[in-house]
Amino acid sequence: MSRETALGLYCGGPALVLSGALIVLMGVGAAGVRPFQPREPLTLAELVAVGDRAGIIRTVRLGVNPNDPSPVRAGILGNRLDPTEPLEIALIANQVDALRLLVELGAVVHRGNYGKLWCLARQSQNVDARAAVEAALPDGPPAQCPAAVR
Amino acid sequence: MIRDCRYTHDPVTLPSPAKADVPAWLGIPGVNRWRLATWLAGLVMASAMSLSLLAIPVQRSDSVVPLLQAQEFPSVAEAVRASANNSAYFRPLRIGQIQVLYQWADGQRYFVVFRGFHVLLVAALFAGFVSVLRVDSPLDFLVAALAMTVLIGHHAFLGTVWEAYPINHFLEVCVLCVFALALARSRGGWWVDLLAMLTFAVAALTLESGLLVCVVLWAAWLVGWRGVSWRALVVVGVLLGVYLYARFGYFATGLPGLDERESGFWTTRLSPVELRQRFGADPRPFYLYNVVASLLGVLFAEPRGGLYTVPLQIERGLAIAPATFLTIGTSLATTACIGWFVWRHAQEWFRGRFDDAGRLVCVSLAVIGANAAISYGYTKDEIMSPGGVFYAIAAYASVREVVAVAARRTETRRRHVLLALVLLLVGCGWSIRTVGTHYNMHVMAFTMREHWVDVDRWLDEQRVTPKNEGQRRLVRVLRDDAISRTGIQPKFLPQWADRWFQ
Repeated sequence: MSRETALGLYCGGPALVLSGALIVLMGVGAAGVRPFQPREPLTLAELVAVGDRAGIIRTVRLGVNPNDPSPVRAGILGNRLDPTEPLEIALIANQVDALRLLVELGAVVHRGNYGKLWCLARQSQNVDARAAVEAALPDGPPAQCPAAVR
Repeated sequence: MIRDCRYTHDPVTLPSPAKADVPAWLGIPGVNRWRLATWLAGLVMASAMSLSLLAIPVQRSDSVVPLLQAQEFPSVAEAVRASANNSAYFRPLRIGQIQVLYQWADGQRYFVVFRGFHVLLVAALFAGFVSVLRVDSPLDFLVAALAMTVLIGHHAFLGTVWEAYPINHFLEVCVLCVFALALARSRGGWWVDLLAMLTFAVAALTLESGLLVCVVLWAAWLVGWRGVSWRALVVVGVLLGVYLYARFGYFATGLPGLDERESGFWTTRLSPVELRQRFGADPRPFYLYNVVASLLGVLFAEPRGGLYTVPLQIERGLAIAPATFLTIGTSLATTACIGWFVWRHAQEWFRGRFDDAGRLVCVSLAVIGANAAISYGYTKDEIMSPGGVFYAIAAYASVREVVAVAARRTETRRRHVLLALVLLLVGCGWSIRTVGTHYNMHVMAFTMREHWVDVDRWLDEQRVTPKNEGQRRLVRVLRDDAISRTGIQPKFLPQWADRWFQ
């Protein structure tokens, strides 16, 4: 190898390594593997937690009930959460747009869950969140919030 | 006086460094293995870029309105005719192309048609780019690989791939400029002349930056590439005159004013009202600022879109992001190579002596300068994308010579190691910037999907409500298509990535 080729290898080498990496990534992508992404598809609650509204619509269109509780794996909102209603998750994760979307898609705020949702909204200190919960059930009962919900 | 040097190795051409023989490779006579390897590397880069591109749905902003307008026109001719009466912009072919693709999509295949066209443009750009480099030797191949990362990693390139309106005409102009250079480097002929005129006409009628095609053609002729004849260049000049007459005389389109849009100025974004207040009486300082900012932006990655990011981060009390160091550092090193090359050859150039590398650098600098000049009214990374592409071409010629000269002159082992280290750092830096382009495209894909969720509200805000069932259906199809696409979820990407790539 000539000296200039050897030197050229230093400047062009990283680009060649990158090309190799791109080939590998395209290969694993074709096999359905997505680096840096969870292996298992996200649950509705998880999609709400990360604010993936397009994913929420997709999942509901697939037949998932927007009221059904689902778990949230560790790392998304801290520790793993047991199956929780997507509306609650929207408030815990402060995803107000996702909350509004869930309501549009059929998630129900009723007298049974109103108190908990209202308290979560108050705890989030997000005025929009509280307004969204109140708008979903305008004549909701007054809520007695504990010192800390969750 | 520069004599006609239609062929590369004419008497006034200086010898190119270390050209390898052209052996038969895999039994194919005349196929240079290094050129083939460069094409393969280009194919890999273009394929990866296309895959990242295909992750992005047709965007909501900048795409829906042109598509709704296209729905109102009964034919391509009608769309082109209506666009000629626009104020401030004269882009009849831009509208024509959108109309053609819209009709081709046939009410259903918008993503396939528009993204497919985008992918074709990416492929054409890479093909043109690899073709104008004329790789012959192992060194050429290695530096060409670096140049490809400069092309993709350059911040001006990102705007050509992460969005579209719904066609990315900035990318189209880049392709046409590179194609014009390839024509100028060709052996010529009547069909080359014809293609050169056609290329200019298409580019000029598509976007204002398209006028750069004539800069490519004229600059290439001046430095001795005579693939396009002087007669064709005269015709291109006449076409330019016709364009100017049509724009400013016949259609009286005029130029965009100060109050068209907000613009970066030092460390703040000035609104149209603020721009009018500060520069309404005499806009020349603002125009000069834009030209200088555009030029510096391509060469040194600072400012970006008219905003100086380093003082901006300091002003906001933020730690300077690694991405800022990375972009400025790699651009500085590469521009230093180009500067060294210019300094080394300036005297020969004044005497009218150019080798192929010198020609590449001269044409590239002419394009970068002209690109900055036509950005006087408004500076934005995307507008400088042709400049960015030619920066990568200049980088190829310059770095190749830096390496060749350094290999001959570096005597001591210590210096050799130091040089190798610097080259490795620059190579790694540009590769990281390339990864950053892909990263930003995938993050953009997520953002665009999200945009489509509340398209109806957005349309109301824009005071653009679908007028008929056809338009409502168009919006519905685009929304459903965007929402049905899965992709990378930014939440799961490593946290450090944002600071290195954004």
